[in-house]
Amino acid sequence: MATAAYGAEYSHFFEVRLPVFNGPIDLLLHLVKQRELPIEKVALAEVASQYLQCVEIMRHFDLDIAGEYLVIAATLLSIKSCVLLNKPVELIEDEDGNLLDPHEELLRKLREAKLFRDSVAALNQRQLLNFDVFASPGTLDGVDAPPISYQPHDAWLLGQAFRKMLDRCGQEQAVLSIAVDQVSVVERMISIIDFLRKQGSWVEFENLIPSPPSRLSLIASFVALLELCKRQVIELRQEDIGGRISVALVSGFGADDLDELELSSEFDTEQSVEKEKKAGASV
Amino acid sequence: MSLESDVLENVALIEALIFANGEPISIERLSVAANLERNEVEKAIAVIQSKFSAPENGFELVQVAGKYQFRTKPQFALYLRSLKAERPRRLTNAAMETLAIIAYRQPIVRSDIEKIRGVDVTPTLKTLIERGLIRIVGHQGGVGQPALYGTTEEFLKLFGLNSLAELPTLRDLNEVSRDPGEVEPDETIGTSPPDVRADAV
Repeated sequence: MATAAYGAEYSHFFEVRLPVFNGPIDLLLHLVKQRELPIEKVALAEVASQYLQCVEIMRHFDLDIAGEYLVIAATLLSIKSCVLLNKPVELIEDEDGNLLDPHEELLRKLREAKLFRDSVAALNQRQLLNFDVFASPGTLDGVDAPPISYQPHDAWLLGQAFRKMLDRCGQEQAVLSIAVDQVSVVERMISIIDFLRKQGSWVEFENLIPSPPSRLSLIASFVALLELCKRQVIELRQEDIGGRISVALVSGFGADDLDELELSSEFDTEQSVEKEKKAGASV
Repeated sequence: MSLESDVLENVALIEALIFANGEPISIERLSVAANLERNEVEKAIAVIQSKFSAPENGFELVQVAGKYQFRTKPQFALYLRSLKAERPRRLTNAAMETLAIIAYRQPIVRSDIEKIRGVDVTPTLKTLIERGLIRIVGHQGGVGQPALYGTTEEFLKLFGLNSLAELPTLRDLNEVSRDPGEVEPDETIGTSPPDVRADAV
């Protein structure tokens, strides 16, 4: 039962604050818990009348009663009559044509909802860091976590970081240059590997972007990093949440591995490949 | 009973390391940094733990995510919060509910989370990923290969858990509801009128 108004026209004058329930299952769970009953048919039979009273009150206050409330009301009455008269339950068909016991179905939904509520309560009981308890950030800069190898959401992280960079890059005026520079993804891949080899350790990915970054070179670098990730040539690591992303060559990656790599990208046109071949001679 | 002096020295060293590191630090790392055997580190930690558990200490040594960290004691929460420039953000109810489902049911796909919560959880999942509390742990076979979600080490750190095994078992919370089948003999239908609480209206 949510905030209700006593008649639509008085809606701003008089508001009744009621405990909020997320639907009929939640309400039913509350009634059962309030009476300290286990989730069993006998308990449901006992709270049936109370449930109906609640629904009546909600209708009286002109609240929109979702059909589900009434379906469950009907199930409760059916359970009550079965319990009182010791009748067997009538099975119904679900959408797939399977036979279901509607009473057991309701019990199952209630138990699941209770488990869910309990798990939220369990988490809420714990002491939250930076709310109930606090720690010092520390001044040593050693990182305890081992570098994370490529995981699907690494691409997502990279995407976030690049989005920020693209925004900083700003809207480029294409009018400034007459000839648009062709940027080759493969060329970017080679320079990145080269740079990482020379550094020999973790490098912040911002250092891998040519400066000043044009939108084209940013995008080419992004695709290059993704390709290298996919081929398991590089690893990504994020120091702390929302922090800088670092890149390094997969340990043990040597000159032979570079020769064996067949670098290609579907995004490279013939022109940029030509340029790369020329540049490749100096790598 | 006095401790051997070298144990005491170790204690001081380990204390210094844990303090300066700030973030939870593992026994392995402490062992390397302090140049001590693992069991010597463990002994030192036991001493530190009991030392700081005394009521006159404002912070204590806790074990989270299998690592060790100094954290303030919970009774000072209010005072500490007042020192924070911005109000500490708690997770929204929606985020907590989704997180609880993932924590207890991991690995779990998005559609199963939505079946339990009854709403679209995509924006909440995005928030939780951004905060580093959940991650994709794999993919479910079958149509579309939907992503499977699980909690992260950050999740353990946030809730002060040593491991997922420390999540309270849900039966522990059944203080109010009795076990099914334990209905009292005098609870029969129809003998007592249903009580309607005044504030249930």
